[in-house]
Amino acid sequence: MKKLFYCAVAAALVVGFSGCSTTEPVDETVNVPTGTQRSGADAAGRGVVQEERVEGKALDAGSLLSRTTIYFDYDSSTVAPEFREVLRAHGDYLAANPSVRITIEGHTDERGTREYNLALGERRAYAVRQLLMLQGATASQLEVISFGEERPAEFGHDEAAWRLNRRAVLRYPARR
Amino acid sequence: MRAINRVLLLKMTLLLGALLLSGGAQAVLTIEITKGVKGALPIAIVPFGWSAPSAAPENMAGIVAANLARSGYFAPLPEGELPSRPHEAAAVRFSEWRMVRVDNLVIGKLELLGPDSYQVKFHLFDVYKGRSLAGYSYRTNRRGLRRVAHQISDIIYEQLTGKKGVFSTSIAYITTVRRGGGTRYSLSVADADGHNEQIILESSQPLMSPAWSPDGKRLAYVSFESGRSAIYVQNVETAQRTRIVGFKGINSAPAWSPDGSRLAFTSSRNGNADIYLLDLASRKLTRVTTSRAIDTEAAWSPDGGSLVFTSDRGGSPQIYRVAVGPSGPTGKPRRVTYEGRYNARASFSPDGGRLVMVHRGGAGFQIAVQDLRGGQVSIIADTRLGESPSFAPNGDMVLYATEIRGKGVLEAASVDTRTRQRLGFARGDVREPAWSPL
Amino acid sequence: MGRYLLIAVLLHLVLFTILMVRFDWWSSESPPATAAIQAVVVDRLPQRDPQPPAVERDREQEEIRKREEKRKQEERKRVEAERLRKEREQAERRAAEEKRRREIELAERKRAQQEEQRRAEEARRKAEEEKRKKAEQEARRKKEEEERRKRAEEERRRREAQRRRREEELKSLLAAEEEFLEGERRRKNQAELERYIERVRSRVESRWREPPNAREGMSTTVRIRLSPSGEVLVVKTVQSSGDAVFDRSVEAAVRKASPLPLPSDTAILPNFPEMNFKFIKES
Repeated sequence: MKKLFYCAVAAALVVGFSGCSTTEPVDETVNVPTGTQRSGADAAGRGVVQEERVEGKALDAGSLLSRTTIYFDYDSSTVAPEFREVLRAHGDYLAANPSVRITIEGHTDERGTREYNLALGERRAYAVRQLLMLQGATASQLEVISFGEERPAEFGHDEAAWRLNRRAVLRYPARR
Repeated sequence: MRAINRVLLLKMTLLLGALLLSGGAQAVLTIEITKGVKGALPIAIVPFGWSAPSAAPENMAGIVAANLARSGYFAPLPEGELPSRPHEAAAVRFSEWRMVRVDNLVIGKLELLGPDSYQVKFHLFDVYKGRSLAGYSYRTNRRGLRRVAHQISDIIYEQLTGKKGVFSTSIAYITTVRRGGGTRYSLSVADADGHNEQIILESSQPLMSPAWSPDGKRLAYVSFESGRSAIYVQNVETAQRTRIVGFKGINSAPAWSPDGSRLAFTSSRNGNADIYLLDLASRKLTRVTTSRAIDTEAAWSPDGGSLVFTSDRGGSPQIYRVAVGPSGPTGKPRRVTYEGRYNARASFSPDGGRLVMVHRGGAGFQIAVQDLRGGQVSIIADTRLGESPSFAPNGDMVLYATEIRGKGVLEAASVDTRTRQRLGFARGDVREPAWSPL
Repeated sequence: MGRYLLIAVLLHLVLFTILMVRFDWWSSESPPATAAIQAVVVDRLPQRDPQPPAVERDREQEEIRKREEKRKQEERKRVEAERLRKEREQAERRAAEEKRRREIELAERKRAQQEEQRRAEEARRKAEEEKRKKAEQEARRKKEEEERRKRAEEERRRREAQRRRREEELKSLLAAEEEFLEGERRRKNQAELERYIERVRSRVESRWREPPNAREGMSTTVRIRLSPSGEVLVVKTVQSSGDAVFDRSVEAAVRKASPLPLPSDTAILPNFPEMNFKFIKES
């Protein structure tokens, strides 16, 4: 089950970013317009926007919940507006399901020093935690772990890899 | 250069004038030499004699030559250009070594004394003076031969440069190997030349920040084996290990105090990363920093009286220094670095006069040395992704990690930037080198 | 022409006359030049004696005779007396005459004497004048002589000085020339020495490997002895840096530089074949 979940997340990421990279990079310096966000479009997967709209609002929430990775600017722990919707959805879900406990992983790209990045990853995870708690999630539901740059999602040594590594990841327990 | 020469010439002329005027019979022409060449010292290292008909168990001369060459201060004569191959002092004819223009000559021999018992003898000569500078004899086993070669290298290095050699020291480092979907993390210890690697810990979870105890017997490091970062101390010889710090949040960047009694480390147990001190005997914990910013990467001054650390309290990561006493900080942290947008993971030179750090000046993360008295910053390695720099125990070189064509490698650069050497490792990405004490 | 001459003569005559009249007029107005002398002579003339007393005749015959007699006698007596008186007078006259004559003679003599004296005086004066003149002349002559001598002396001195100056000038010119030549020679030697030092320096410098532990300010001085062909025979550390490695690098550099080049003339090298090398670690 756990494996399956990871696979789903990974698949979503791959689809999302492959789509994105052909249009504009998911770099915070080139923000996805917020208007698109509000209309329910998925920044991580424009390719599936049409299909999701047909499904309606329920699927929107599901789509937001399926997005568990929040990306950050270089040396920043500020959650970009485009990801607040995602965190709102997760916060709502956690508030509605107080028995669910998740782990927030903080990660950084490889640039800079490892120990500093470990702290920076933690700060990112805490930033995410803060937003989830604003929606009603409780501290006991949220565990924060930083991996700094030690667990990159991408192994490259360029911005294409780095922008995918500056992230916080919401880990749900293997229950689906 | 030309201007200097002209000044010199003037000086010379004045000196000469004085000489000629004095006209004394005692006056001797004195020529001033103020510029030498920075090149490496030519040295001949003759392959050591070997008593048995079988191949020698270790290429002693080869190890010594490689060590000396790596330091940047020596240029060993290629084996093919050796005019002769003496193994005994009596067989050395200095004139032929002068002809090939080497300053120094090393000869030696290896003898099998018994089962797994060897004797190593060597001599170091000053070719131009025509006399021996050093000569030693060792007894060891097969495994110890390499160590003996490093010791010989140290002796030669110290004799000819006036500085302690670091060839007998060890380095600890982290290696990652990606296999299939997973990554294997290992903590290894090797000779300073990268040989004789021994993996002392392997994990599927990240390992970080190895730090040698001042006695060189233990390593503190960060392991994520519990799912989150915690600090462990492991005896290198016995492999006995203890988790010594495992607070909530991150636990990282361990640094032994010079007397070995305390560990400085980073903990976010109070919400964000701060520096703490742990007394290893009493387990007493002292908080050093209290800022809401990230404070991490503490390093001790050689006298144990202060710490430097990285903090982004000013907006971007910079180096700060704080005085510490037996019961914690004794002053407010003061910023040390002002050049560049990013300065992090500083550590002291053995004499305490300089800091080496990761410095982001232009495009990349470079390795820089800052003089603590004058404040000047000099880039000693213009790396794109340099990290984890530390001084060699003799202060001559800086060891750091960087990335070459997608692969993590270790490099050593002489502080005077004359040489930059890559340490060869067969496998994986290598990073976070820590140079053992002398 | 003749007329002019006549007129000139006439004019001269008129002039002469006028001058003479004027002279007379001038002289009548003024006392004669000799009056004082004549007065002196008159003053000196003797006083004349008084006339003898008249004889009485109214007495008797006897009386008369007597008187006659007496008169006769008296006449005789008187004649006698007359005669005597006459004689006396004569004698007196003669005496007076004589006296006057003598006085005149005396005066004359005196005058002559005075004249003589005057003349002598004059002569003396003249002589003195002459003498003075002569003296003056002599003095002038002497002075002139002196001045001439002085001038000559000065001239001599001037010439001497000039000669000396010229000599000096010549000497200094020679000295300067000599100095110039000496300077040239020294400059040449100096230049050659500098070139030589530069050659040696670059040879040694290119062989000196500064040891890595060398610190700014470290300095070692070695004294070497060269063979006639420039081989470094002996290297002696005369001032150590205190650091064995640094000292050794210095000795090695000097030995490696052997043989050193030599100048065409080793005489330009002070104290050849010894030479010092001072190695200094600069920044």
